[in-house]
Amino acid sequence: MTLFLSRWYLGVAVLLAAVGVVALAACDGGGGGDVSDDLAADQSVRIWLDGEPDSIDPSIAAFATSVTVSKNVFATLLRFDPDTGEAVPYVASEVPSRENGGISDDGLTYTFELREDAVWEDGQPIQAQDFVYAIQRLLDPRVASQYGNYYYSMIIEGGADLAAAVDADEATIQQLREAMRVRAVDDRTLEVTITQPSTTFNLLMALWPTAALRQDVIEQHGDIANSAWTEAGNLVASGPFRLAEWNHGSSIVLERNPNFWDEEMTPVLDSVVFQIIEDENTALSAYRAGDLDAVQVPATDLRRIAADDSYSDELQRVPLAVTTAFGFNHTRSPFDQVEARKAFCQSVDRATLVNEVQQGAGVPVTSWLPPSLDPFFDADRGQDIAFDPESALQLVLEPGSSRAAYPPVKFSYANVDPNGTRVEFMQGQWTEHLGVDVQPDPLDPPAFEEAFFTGNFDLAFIGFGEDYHHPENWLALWAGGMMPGGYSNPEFDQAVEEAMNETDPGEAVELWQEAERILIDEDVAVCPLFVHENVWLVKEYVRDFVMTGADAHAGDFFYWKTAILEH
Amino acid sequence: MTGYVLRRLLWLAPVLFFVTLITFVLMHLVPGGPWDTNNRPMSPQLREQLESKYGLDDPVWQQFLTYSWNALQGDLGVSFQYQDRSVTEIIREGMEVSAVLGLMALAFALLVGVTLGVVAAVKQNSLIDYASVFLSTFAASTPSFVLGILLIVVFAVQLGWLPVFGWEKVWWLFPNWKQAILPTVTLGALPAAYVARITRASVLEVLQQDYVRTARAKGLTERAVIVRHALRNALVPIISVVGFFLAFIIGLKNAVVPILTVSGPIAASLVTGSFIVETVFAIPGLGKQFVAAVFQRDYGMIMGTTIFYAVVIAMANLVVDMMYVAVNPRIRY
Repeated sequence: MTLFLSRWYLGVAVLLAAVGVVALAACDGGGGGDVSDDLAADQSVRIWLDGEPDSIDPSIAAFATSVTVSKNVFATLLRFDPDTGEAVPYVASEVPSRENGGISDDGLTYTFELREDAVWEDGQPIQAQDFVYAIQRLLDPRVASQYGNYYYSMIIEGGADLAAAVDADEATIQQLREAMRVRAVDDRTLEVTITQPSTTFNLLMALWPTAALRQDVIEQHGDIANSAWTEAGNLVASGPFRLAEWNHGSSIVLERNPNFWDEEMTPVLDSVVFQIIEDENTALSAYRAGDLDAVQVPATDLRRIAADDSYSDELQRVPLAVTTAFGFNHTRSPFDQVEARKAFCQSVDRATLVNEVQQGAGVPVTSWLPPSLDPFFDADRGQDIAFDPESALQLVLEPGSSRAAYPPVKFSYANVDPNGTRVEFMQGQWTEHLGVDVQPDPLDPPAFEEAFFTGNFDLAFIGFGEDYHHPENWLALWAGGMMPGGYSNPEFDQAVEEAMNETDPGEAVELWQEAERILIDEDVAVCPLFVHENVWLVKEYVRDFVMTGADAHAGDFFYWKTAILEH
Repeated sequence: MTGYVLRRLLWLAPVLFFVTLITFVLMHLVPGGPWDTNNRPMSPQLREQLESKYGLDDPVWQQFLTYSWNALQGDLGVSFQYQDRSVTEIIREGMEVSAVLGLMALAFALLVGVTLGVVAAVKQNSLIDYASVFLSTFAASTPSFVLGILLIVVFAVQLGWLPVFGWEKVWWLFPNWKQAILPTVTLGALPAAYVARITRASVLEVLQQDYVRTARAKGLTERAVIVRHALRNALVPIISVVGFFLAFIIGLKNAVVPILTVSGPIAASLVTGSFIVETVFAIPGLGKQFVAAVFQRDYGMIMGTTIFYAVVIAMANLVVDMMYVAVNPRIRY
């Protein structure tokens, strides 16, 4: 009898304990606490970072996390105005233009005058030679820079030859580097010659890969292609912050650069601590426990947190210049026919996708250019591919493009959350509205990238994030049949060519819009779905954490402005 | 015995060779390459540059030979993903964290498991016995990420007693003790559970033995009977089980065939880290790196970590076999 009773009590006790723990765990509570208007003594902000940077070396950095750190530690000739996306002066004292003589009459030679007072962290002046070295290194084949090849090798005169010299000997490479038309006229003047007139070259010179580099520092810690110069203690900064600590896989600490030379951008903070936490739930828990000051809201918690009043003062959201879409393989049936592409595109209810599947994060769009790309964004773009299930059904019933003739269609995507739910939603839409069965094809991210870039897909779930604020960044990649999936239209190519060569800004807007019209309205080359949103929780005592649509990581244009209030 | 040890060490060479070969081949067969991780199309020129930089433009068999030759000299190359860092450096840094975490979890598992198991066996069918059986079943059935998150929410978020994440070294390789508690418990929970159950069963069995009856008849205190006589023999199965958990803790449980082999695949994977615990607690250990390397197709890291594991596991197997002899002199090789 005793035996039986002790078992029984044990069971009840355990059950009660379990319920208690779950109840405790389910309790939530946000916000609270008093915040004054005075600055706190401890000016240090702890920001979530979702992964280890691949490298903060400007020539190599490719991850968003890498770009964020690189941007704040290194200075470029120009930088982006976060509000307008235009190029504004940074190390260069003026943006080159025809008016100020910075751009030659033929539009091919750019001259940058550097500020007198721009110095490195160790006091040495930032010189034109530092930029010459940086650009030479960016295109040096031994460095194998992704962004160097992607944006710079073709536009800089002599760059293509240098980049093509793979496996050449040292002497040849050195020769080609010197032959490239980038030179220091004197310590304070840089001259760059480009291969054809461009309306976007200044924007390219504001991107992080063109930041000045210290040859002596790089060579002290290795050689041109492999160097430990980006470790804390080795790295010499030129931007508002310096690299104080880099605990790999764990945290990155940036401190105010005491020798920073721009009045406006001198940081208020003493330090920015990036905590590298891959699990977003852990990050949110850390925020709730007070171990983090700013964190992204996980997609699955968005609705709950947005509805919770205690978080309302801490929630910040901003649409990003990132368009998500699904791409077609134009060389495979049925997507070689525009009717099929249109039908598939018209049958997806984007509003429900954003509001239900994404819990409200994002903005539905029917254009490839994002709404933030003012004035090139056209609100009327993609009217014909807006959600219209009846029209879509008609298209697939028509004899010429009937769904009866469709081969099996696979929808390939990178198997990371929350792509699976999005893809399944769309699969459901096509079954419901078109009566077509589409097979989801989840792949490991690298396997997906390979499948996509080798054209080995029917439908692919893709996205594009802006590097610089100009339709060229968005539309040039569709030209020349270079885009995976095989879209090719000489009319479109010509429209892009004309737009790129147009110098009058008003005309240019018209021409770029025309190009997009061909891409989306006429050809339905791709089916845009929505524009991403950054939804973050930021503690009330963090003042001026300013998120913009062009951030690589939330707030990274304005860390110099951010401050901590007493709390 | 020395002969035995030498022979085992010599076997290491062919084992490592085949591990390297098979991993190398598999790695190149899997779709997706090391640079299919950035979302920009790769021009043929960039591909040429990258392949030249990393030596991937040679035929695969030649790459294998070059790699093996370098590896023999201790040069495991650079990470393809984190291009400024050498594989050896990444492994060393990851090991400093994972080894300490793993050893702490092992110590926790043994301490808690053996204690619970002995107490449960000695007080069989009491409340303590049932409580410990329940606890061990709970710990064994809860997936580690659930346990980890539960512990975080209760102890770090709600009660605020412990930090949520992180691993900072404060003295030599040892972390801030507050940061170490939750990950250690999460990683050590499952092995503790098994150790407890095996210990309990083993001690129970030993307590039935004749020599125990003799010891009691001689008038020894119960405590002396248990500690001096019963436990030593009870420990033998625990050793083999410890090896199993070591492998298990890394999360490679699917790869390890459970409980069939009595001598146990003594994988010292426990000390090389657990992917899940490291991810949940944001600990920069080797387990996380190993799995991430595969996802990123970081060829340099995949090869480096696999070879490293192979060496550690082989050595640990050897150590455990030697431990058997120490505990039971009748075992001879």
